[in-house]
Amino acid sequence: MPRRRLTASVFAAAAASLCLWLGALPAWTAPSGEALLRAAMDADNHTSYSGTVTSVVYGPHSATATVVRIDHKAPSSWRIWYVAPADAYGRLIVSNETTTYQYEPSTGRVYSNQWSASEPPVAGEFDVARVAQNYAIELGAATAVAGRSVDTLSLTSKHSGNLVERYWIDKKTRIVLRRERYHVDGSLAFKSEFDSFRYVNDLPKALFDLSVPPGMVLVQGAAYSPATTDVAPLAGAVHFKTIAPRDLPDGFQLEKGNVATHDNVEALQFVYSDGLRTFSLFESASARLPKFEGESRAIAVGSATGQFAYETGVTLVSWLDGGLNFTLVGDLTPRELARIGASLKS
Amino acid sequence: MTCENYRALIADYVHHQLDAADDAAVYEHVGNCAACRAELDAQIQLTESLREAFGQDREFPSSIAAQVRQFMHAVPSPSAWDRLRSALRPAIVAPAAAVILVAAILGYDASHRPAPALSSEYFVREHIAQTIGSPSSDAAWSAYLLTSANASSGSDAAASPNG
Repeated sequence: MPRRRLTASVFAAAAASLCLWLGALPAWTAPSGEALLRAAMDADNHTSYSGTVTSVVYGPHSATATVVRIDHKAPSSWRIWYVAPADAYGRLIVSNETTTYQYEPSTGRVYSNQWSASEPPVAGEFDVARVAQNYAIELGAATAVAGRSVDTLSLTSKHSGNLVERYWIDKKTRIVLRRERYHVDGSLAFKSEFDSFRYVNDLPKALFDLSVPPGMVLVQGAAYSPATTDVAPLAGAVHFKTIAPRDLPDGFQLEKGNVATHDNVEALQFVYSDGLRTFSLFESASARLPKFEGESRAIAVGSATGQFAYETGVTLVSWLDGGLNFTLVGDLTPRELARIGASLKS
Repeated sequence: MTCENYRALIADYVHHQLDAADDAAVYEHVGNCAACRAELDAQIQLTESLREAFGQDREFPSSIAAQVRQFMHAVPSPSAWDRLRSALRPAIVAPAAAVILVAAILGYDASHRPAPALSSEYFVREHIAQTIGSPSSDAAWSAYLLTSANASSGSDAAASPNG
């Protein structure tokens, strides 16, 4: 074989190998958006860390922030210490994801909360496939948060075309270091970000003990009705005729429900989700609108006139019909909630 | 429940209009709360006063009866219809007045007793509690809202100190 032809063959083989290797390379270094989101949602099951997180909820006229110091020991131990707002300063929460103790140094009380009583969680264990049905999950540019390299993900509604959430995901641990949620008009609705983040392996177990220090008293926290995904029997558990929305926003479906009696008022709650966003429909045996914490404004709900308000990061729409009170609460706009309300039919 | 909630039930409690659970709850509460007990006593006293005032035939005061007799003697002899109307007047007026007064009192009471309602805070808290595990929920923010509800409520039941 002539030397020139041999050299050409060697180069051709090398080039082919290089192309094959380069072709395979992106699958290793650049996971799909869906795979990255799945890894991010599972990351704290495997990664322990300490850090400081600032969360801000933006209302129409003001913003409210929490600043917390978080220590997490994988898979399920949490210790959250509140620095802000002022009314929560010094509050400590220790949780094993089943029982949560809330320490209030100012009153000497420890509240035992069984938030797991509200299981099952909405959309199960973060159903990425369901999120992907309703949202385009797109990788963005790499950047840095809290001095660490991150990948970015954008979740855009496939139905409305609106950008709904963005995530900044640590390249090494896959922990979500920053997160933003947006209103329909594109303005910021919520932001949560690690100001400092340290990946640790050696957090002492004692940090997460559910114990009551001397001088403090253990008391029961507020109880919440256990929810069920078997919602059909709930209609028979109340003394009024329940009705369901005929039209739901694209991608939303009924997840679970519960019945509760509060202040002598019987109330039925249905929770809906599209895998990412949620809203609740309350039907209650009350002929009065709720007392709103802040400013409320009139809104038409079908032929009825209701009131809407923004409170602590969610939207409320409430109206009266047939001697009952209907209230919708969730991540949607007043108009979207009013449209759902107008479709309520028995 | 708060004292305000119990007080809204006291009128129905006095008249035995509550279901068994509420009746028992009010009974227990007024046994421990002096302010609500005073409200109950006032309601009982009002009921007794109404019963005493309108629960039996009412006699006209003697002075009025004397004036009526004097008037009857002073005027020309009345017609048969006038005599009948005069004879019936005390029997009609007193019960009618009683009915009108009681209806006015009950109407006032019903119109001023607030119908039960839930607060917007209740709806938000229940929504957060049911969605705290969802992807759209932020743990620190949601936990802040739920734990603040505990911290701001004055009523809680002590459990074992080291449970």
